Amino acid sequence: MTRMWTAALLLASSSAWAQPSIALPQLGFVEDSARALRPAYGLAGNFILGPPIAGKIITEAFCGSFGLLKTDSSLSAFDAAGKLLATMDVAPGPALFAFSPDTIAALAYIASSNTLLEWRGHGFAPLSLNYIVTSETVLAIAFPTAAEALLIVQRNGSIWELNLPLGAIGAVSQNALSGVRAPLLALPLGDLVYRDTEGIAIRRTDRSEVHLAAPLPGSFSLQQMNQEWVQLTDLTSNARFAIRTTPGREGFYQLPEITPALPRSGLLRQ
Amino acid sequence: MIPRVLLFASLLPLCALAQLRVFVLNGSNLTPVGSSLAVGPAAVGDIVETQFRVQNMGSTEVPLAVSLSGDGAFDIQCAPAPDVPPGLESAFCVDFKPTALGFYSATLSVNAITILLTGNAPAAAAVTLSGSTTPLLYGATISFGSVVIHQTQSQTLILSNSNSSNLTVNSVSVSGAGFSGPIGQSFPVQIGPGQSASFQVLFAPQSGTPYQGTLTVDNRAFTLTGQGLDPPLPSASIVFASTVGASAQQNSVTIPLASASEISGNGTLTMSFQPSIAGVTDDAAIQFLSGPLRKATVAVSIGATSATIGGQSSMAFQTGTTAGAITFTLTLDNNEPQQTTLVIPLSPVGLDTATAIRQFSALDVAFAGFDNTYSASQLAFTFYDLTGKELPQGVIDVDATAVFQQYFSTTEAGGAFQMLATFPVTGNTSEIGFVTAQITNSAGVTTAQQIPIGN
Repeated sequence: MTRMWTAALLLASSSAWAQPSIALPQLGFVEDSARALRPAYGLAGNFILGPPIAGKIITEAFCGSFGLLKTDSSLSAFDAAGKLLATMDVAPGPALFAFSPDTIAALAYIASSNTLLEWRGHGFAPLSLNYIVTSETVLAIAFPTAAEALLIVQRNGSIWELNLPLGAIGAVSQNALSGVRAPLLALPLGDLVYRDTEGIAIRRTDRSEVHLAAPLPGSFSLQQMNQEWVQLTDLTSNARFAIRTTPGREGFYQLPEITPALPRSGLLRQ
Repeated sequence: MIPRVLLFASLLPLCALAQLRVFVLNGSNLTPVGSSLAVGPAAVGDIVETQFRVQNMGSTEVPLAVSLSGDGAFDIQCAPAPDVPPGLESAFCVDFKPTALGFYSATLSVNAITILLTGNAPAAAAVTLSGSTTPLLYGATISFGSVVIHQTQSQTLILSNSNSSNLTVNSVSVSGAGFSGPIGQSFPVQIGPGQSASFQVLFAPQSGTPYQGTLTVDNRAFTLTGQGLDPPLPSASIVFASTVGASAQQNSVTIPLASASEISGNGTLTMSFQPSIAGVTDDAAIQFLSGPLRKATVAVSIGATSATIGGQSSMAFQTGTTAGAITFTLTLDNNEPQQTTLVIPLSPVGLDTATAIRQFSALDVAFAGFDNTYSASQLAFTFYDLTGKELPQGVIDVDATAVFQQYFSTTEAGGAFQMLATFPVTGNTSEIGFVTAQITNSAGVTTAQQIPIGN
C-alpha cells in the first residue's frame, strides 16, 4: 500500500513537465591527422568532426566530463565544451592517461621523466611513484581507486599489470596479463581494449571478451575519446578509427579523415 | 693591260655559273644532282614528282631561268622564283607522267646547268585497293585508319594486268614498324592479260601513336599510314558492400572492371546527395571517410581487374542521417560517366542510445539517435515500478513537434539528435524501475522498451 501511494505521487503535475531539450549528440574528442584536437559529433557510423580547438597534440584523452592533452612541453585539462581548465609545464614526449571510474580524477604518466601526475578537478599534483621503470615499457596506466595506480608494462615479451599504492604505505604487486597484446588501453571501469589476432578485443572485468574483426593498421595507438568510445590512430597514415565499447553495442568504425566546416565553437581557452 | 681585262670579263659568267648548285629533295635530304637524273619508274598513268632546289652559293643575287625540253612525259609543275638571293635557294618540281610503255628523256636547264632527265614506263600491274576501281598512283597513301593497339587491321590490294601480254610482278615488300606483309601471295607472280592477283598488308600498332610505312611493288613505292589507338578501359561498375540504403551506416564502394585492363587510366568518383526532405539542402555527414569529402581519385593500372579509389581497393563512406538519394558518379578516361544511386528511405526514428537516470527529485530520460524525416513529433513515456507494474499516471504524452522543428531548422548535422526529457518527481524516485518510451515521426513509431532507470 505504501509503495502504491509513493508511486501515485510520481509525475503528479503534468503541467510541470519541461519540454525536452534537443542538441547535436557529442561523441567526445579525437585527435585528427594534423595532430589537432577536435570534438566528435553524431552517432555510431555517422561521425562529424568539429573544428580544431587545439594543435600540436602528442597525446589526448577524454572521459565524458573532462579530458587531458599533452603537447611537447605542457599538460592540460579541458572540459566537455573544450574549455581549458588548467595547464602546466612538463617533460617532453608522450604521456599515458587514465581516468577514475567516477570520471572525476585522472592520472597522467610521463615516460620521459618517469613521473605521475594526478588531476583532481582544479589542478595537477605530482605523485610519488614508488617504482622505477627500467627495462620495461609502460603500455598503459589505470586509476582503479584513489589509492592505487596500475601500470601495464611489457617485460621480456610478456605483459604485466603492476599495482602501485599511491600513498607511502603498501608494496607493489604484479600480475601477468595473459593473452593480451599491445597496443592496449585500460578503461576507467576496468575494461581492457587491446589488439587481437584479427582485430580488436575488449576484455571485460568479468574476463569475458568481445572480439571485433577489423582491418588494423600495422602500427597504431589507442586513446579514450569518451566513456564508451576509443580512438584508434594509425601511426603511419591519416586513417583514424573509433571503437565502441558499449556492452552489446560494440563496433569498429572509421572516422572521417576530413570534415566539413561546422561552425567554430568551444575553442580551447581559459 | 688589255688582255688581262678581257680575261676578267670572260670569267664573269663562269663565276655566276659556279654560284648555283642544283639538288634533288628526297624526304628531308638534299642530294646534289649531276649531269643526269633517273626518275621513276612509273606505270602508265602514274605521276612521279621530283622536287628540285637551286642554291645560290655566292654573295650576289642571281636571276634564275629554268626550262625543260624533250618529250611531253616531263613537265615543270611548280615554277621557281625569278631570282635566287645570295645564300638562299629556290624550289621547283618536275613531274614524270608517262602515257605509254617505254623510255623517256628530257633536258632540264637551270641557267647554264643542263641535266638529262630519264624515265622508264615498264609494263606494270595496276595496284588497286580492294573495293576500289581506281588504280593507286605512284606514291599514293594507303590508310589503315585508326586501330586499337594489339589489334590487326588488313588491307587487300589487287594487282591487275590490263596489258595484252603476261607481266610479272617480281617483288612486293612492306617496311615500317607496325606494318607487315605481303600475305596471301608469293612473289614473283605472273599475271596474264586481264587477270589479277591479290595480297594483304597488315597493320598492328603497338602504341597509341601515328605509324608510317612503305609498300613497294617492284620499283613503285606507296605510303602506308595508320594511327595506333590506346584501347578503351574495360567497363567498370560501382558496387556497394551493402546495397541496402539506410541512415547512419558506414558502407564502402568498390569499382570492379569487366576484364583485366590493357591500359592504365585515371578518373574520379564523386558523391552527391539529393535530400527527399522539403527545405533540406544537404547533410554534412554524407562523405567519403578518406581524402576529399565527396570526390575521390580513381586509378586503373595495367592488368588490374578493379580500380583503386583514393589509392585504396575500396572507399568507405557514411550515409548520413537524412533521407534522400546518394548518387555516385564514376568518370574514367574517355568513358561515358556512369552513375549509381543509393536510396536512403524515410524511416522511423533510429535510436542509438536510450538511458534513464534517477535524480533527487526528477527522472532524466535521454535518447541519442536520428530522424531522417526531420518530422519527429509525439513522445510517449510509460513508467513502471520495480515489479513491472505500470504507474497510475499511465502514458504521458509530450508534443515535441515545435522543439524538434526548431532544432532541425538550425542543425547542420543532418537528422542526428540527442534529447533529454526531465520529469519532476514529488515522490520517491527509487520506486520507479524502468520506462518505456515511444517517439513518432512521419515514417512510423519507434519504441525503446524497458529502459532501466539508473543512478
